[in-house]
Amino acid sequence: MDDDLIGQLLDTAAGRLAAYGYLLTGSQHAGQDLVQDAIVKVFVKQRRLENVRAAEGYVRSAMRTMHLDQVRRDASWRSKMPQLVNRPERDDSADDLAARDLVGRALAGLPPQERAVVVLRHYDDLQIQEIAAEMRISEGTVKRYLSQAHAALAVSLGRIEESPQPVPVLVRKAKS
Amino acid sequence: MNLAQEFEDFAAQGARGAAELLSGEETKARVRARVARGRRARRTAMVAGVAATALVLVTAGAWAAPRLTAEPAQPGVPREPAKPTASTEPNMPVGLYGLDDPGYLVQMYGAFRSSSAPDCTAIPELPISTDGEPFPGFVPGMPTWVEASRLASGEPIPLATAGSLFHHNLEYMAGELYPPDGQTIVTFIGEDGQFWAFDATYAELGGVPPYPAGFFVTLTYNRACSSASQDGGQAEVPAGEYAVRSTTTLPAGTGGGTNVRDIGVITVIAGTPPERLLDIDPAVAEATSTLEPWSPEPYVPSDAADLPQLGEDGYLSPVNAVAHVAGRVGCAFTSSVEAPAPDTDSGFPSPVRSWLGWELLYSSDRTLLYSADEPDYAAVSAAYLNRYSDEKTHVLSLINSDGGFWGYGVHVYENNGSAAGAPGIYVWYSFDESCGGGNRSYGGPLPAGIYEARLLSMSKGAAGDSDVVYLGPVEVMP
Repeated sequence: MDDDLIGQLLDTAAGRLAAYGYLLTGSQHAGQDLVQDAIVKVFVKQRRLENVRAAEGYVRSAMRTMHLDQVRRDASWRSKMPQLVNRPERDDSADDLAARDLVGRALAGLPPQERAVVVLRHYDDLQIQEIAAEMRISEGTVKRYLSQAHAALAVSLGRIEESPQPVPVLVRKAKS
Repeated sequence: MNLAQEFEDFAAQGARGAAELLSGEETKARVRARVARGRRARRTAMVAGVAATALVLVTAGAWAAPRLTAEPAQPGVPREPAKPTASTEPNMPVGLYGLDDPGYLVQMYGAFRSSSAPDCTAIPELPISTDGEPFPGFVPGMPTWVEASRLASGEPIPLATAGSLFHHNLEYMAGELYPPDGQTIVTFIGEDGQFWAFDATYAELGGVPPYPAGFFVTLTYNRACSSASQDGGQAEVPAGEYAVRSTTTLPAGTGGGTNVRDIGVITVIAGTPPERLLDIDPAVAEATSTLEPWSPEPYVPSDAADLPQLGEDGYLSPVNAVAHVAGRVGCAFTSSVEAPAPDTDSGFPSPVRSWLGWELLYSSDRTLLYSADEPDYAAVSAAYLNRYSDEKTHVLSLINSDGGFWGYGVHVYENNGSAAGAPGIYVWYSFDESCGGGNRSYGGPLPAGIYEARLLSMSKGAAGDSDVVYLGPVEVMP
């Protein structure tokens, strides 16, 4: 049954999941790997997945978590590495498409954490506090990453329209 | 600019082609197989977790080694795991069992972290923990038994089958488990309270005889951390069943402390290793690993058109100097031998680019050097390696200004068009700790910087000769 669901999921949602993976990682291949790893993670745990839509939601969430874990791990390693050279990011291994595309180039120029923050904010439409929880960093750090990312992106993409944060609605109880 | 819309368009554009690949039957089959293996491992881990709670602490810190099996035993009916015996069946790997077979090592996954390094002779007394998720970096790939003679001699023990641990562990162990300078001790604890400790080192061997390419652990007897009353302080562990525990002491720079992991039960058998120990049937190899087996096919990008051209930044300037050496030499040799005068007749092409991202060296399945479709040099040099790949073992040695060196097995893969990506000849690396000069923990990233690069080409077989090819400097980039 799960096998059928895996097949259905890949038949119907492969494009969306691949797009999300590509946006997160900046690489088609890494994005595909992320999709497959996330599917394995979700289905190994044998959750009660009612339909393809629910499965897609779980897989997207797993992709996000796994990618953020990877970003954290990479950041940890990088912090320990002596930075003897300071060259642009992996100019050969970035996807060719990304290199040609304006948005792709701008995203590729962001540090991994800032890229993750900006994707979570503008693509996943998560709020600041939600991003902070996902990335296990403070809200202030999220805002700083977002601000820095916006500034960097604006250089090549022009002024960035910030998605509005929802305005909390206070419901006043009528006095009895 | 509305980033949400831009991202939508960008992602959709980038996913073109990927969606077709992902929804292909091949991908589906692969994912289903991985899910099946993952579930099997998960079931095993859960059973082991339950079984671990039945462990009884014995006085003096010894703990009993229950006979764990892959399936829960019936209440009141002790299950007798099959004793590993030398198989007489042709092509039957001796001592390796499928996860579902009785006698196969079941991991307990019990692990905890101690903030300080315990006295190593007190390791058996540490409490058992069954907390935590199954530990992905230490999969049930270890044989259920080891030979006493192999323990005594410190010979490499195949952790699993060739390559099956490669992919996952490379990342995980580098990032989490075995940071530089960490020390791992594996302790075999007998039911009578005696225990034998071994320093463990991990190595990914590149296929230099007599060992096949694969992932190995070498256990070197550590007398100081063993119980004093054993006979003569020798490494000869008597045949029998032992509870096995590993402790990894982490250097202060990586947070310090000690990771303690209960691995499970291992049977030590007497006698010499069977000749076919390493001759592992692929079908069984698959069954003994819960991880995606390492594929010999490297990552191949779909479009290599933007690789730099010869003469531009990105390619190594060749140094036409080759030292011919009688016999097979170790990697350390490459860092000590003086460069000979350039041999203008050899015309040896440069087989590596002038820079490598450390993550390319770090995850060997993602390293592309070049395809034969590229003009001139790249094609020639890849073709050179390919031509001799059956006869010679190639190791790339990167040497820093301090004389430290890092070795990478150089592998050649020819895509004739049947695999994804552009047809051509590709070259990729795998870290070879046996050529690492002991200055880099398995799988960890190479520090960025400028390195001297030398290619060691050794004839296969016990005899033969070696060539040390001098390459221009390589810049390793973060």
